[in-house]
Amino acid sequence: MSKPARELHIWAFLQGIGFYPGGWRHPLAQPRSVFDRAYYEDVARLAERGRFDAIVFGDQLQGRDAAGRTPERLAIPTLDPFTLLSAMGAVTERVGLVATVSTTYNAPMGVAERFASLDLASSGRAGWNIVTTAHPNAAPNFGERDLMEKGLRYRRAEEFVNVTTQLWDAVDDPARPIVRHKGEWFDVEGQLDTPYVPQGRPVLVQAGQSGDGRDFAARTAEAIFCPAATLEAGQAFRDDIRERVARAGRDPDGVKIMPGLAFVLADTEEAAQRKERELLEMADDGLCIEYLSESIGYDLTRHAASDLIPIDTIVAECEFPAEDIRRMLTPGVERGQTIADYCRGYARQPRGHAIFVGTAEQLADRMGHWIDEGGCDGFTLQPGFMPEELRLFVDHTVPLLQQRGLLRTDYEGTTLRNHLGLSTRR
Amino acid sequence: MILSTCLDLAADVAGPQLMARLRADLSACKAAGADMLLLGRQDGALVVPGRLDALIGAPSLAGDAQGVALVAVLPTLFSLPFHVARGLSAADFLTGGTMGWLPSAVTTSLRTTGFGAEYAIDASDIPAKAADMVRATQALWDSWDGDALVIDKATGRYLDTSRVRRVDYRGTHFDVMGPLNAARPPQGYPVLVADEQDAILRAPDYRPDLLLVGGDDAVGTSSAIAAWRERGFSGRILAKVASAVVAGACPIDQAGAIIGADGFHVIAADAPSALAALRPSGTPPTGATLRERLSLAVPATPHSANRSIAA
Ligand SMILES: Cc1cc2nc3c(=O)[nH]c(=O)nc-3n(C[C@H](O)[C@H](O)[C@H](O)COP(=O)(O)O)c2cc1C
Repeated sequence: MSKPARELHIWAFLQGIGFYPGGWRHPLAQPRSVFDRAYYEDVARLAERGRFDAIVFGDQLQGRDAAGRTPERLAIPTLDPFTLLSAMGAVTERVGLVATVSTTYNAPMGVAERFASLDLASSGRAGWNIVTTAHPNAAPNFGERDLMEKGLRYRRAEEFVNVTTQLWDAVDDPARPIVRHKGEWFDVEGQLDTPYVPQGRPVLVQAGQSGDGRDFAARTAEAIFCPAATLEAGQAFRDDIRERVARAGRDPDGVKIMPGLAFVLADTEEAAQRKERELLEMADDGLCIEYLSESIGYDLTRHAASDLIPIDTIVAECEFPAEDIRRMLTPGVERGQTIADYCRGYARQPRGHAIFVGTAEQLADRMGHWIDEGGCDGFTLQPGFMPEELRLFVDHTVPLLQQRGLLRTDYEGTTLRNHLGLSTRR
Repeated sequence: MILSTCLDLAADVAGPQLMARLRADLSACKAAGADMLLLGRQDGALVVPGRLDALIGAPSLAGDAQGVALVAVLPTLFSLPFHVARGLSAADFLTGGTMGWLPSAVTTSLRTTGFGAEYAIDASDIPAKAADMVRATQALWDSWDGDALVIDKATGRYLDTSRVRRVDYRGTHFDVMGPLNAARPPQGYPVLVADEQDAILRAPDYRPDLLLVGGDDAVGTSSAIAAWRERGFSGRILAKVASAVVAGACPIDQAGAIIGADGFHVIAADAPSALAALRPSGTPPTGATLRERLSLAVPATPHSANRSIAA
């Protein structure tokens, strides 16, 4: 039986424009302002007013192109998340700042320096979403031909985190020792120039699905960002992780499970559904085709939208592992779908993350229900489009969560560790 | 006349006060008339990376700086072009096109061994690697044309795909495919700054936009500037001026005698009073972007030139 969490944590997952691929076209969306500092300052203050534990950005290390062609109709959030979080931290005092950084295309010393600096600049609000980078096109941006195999990536990640942790711990040690480490991946003798890391160690977050990913999380992470489309999936994932954490000799309560939850809010359920339909329709066929092109690393705009899915050509030329792509496309081929039909279904069908469409009250009910049933420790909330849906959540759902005693009415501490109820490690 | 100085974490305050002190130091420099602040540290006359990562410092201080340009001093030997290109692109957007960068080839032994075996390099290869890192970064900025973004809600067109491309840069030390997942910075390239003592200048054909020169006395600095001009350097030059006015030492007093400089980079311990002493000798530059303030042209992408020929 799942052990329910005692309190609800909320993260604001903010890609520049929001969850729905066509959302940037909504009349209230502000796709141009995502290039201005003022926009991020407003959004950061909004998240802090909503008493979010943290603002979280994902991150990729490749262009959005498929075979060299960049989509025309997809809004590409182009500003570097680490930079955005630093600017957002400058106008807030409490809300946490979680940046996604890869262990495959960085060095431990560089990552330790960056997070130490973010933690210092934000007075103890930094978190690191540790990823290993799964996109094949990242490799050639770092002088490599091929992506490292996943098992190896996770092995490297584990040693990587070990080294960064030693570097942070040495800052906290009055003796200021030099860190000496020689392992399978890293041979270093170093010391950070950063004079002070307020949290001791920035909060370690992980997002990974496979057995390798889960074991890595169980040994390393203090919070996990994951997909969970249903309550049962959330419970199963949380139970599994808690068990792995316990097996790794750690306290399961010290790891917060934060599944994604996209949302569209309105005064009535009907109005919310209408709004979601509009958002889906703003992803026209052209956008949907580009969306799938990017996901499979094959430029489908080379073909007529009314063509049948050219599966053999795609599988022969796509940038992702051929068998994964064949498995993904086969049902569409068997149904005899055209490219446009398949792509529309793909871009408009919920995958992975749960999606909520309804009123503020219904959303609060649902969040409370998931917590009571041990489905998660909180949610990584993904507004349907920005900044309107985030504002609706803060103005309408947050007060309900607070009235129900699920969410803090004010921050108790000043650090991200403190908001998440994690050990201070200092 | 441009006035600049370095800004870094203070050595004499306790951890929790460091950021408040940094912001106070920034205000003091701004009030004293600084046009540009280098987020880095002064090691004698040489500018080196600071104790706060400048790609975190710049966006953290952007709101306070407002009107004062920020220059990120980066440890180039340990920077990867893809990360730096994105960080500086974002910082240039967030500062309204007032970012500069100083890729420094200077390192400390503990940083070098801290980055470890993966980054080991022969001393003789340092200038080439540092300069190649800069070229690779610029190549990534060239993966987007300045006018690639369309953002038209009515037609659903977000960008013009013919203006975004893979660049397949292959250098002596770095290969990058691109395109960058970040738009071309508002200034094309953020302003490229170099300290004349930095080994990066030993790379052939390295052409910064702005050079920091001199540092001893007015005569020596003037002749160093003249030498750079003779070698064909056509960018802006700031004369480094040492020692505090309060100490009554010469160099600041002699600043007026320095010939050929576009401004001054103060390396005095008490930067605000030195800046205030220099400010009356020239008016601040005008313009929205740092390039405009320095009368530097916006670099065009090599690809957009091809495009207009093809069109
Ligand atoms: C919810 C979720 C979010 C993720 N976000 C990112 C991201 O922003 N950047 C990234 O490089 N990888 C991201 N990943 C990828 C993982 O870090 C990991 O590399 C990938 O899932 C492959 O490992 P796995 O098979 O263990 O899941 C994410 C994964 C999940 C499940």
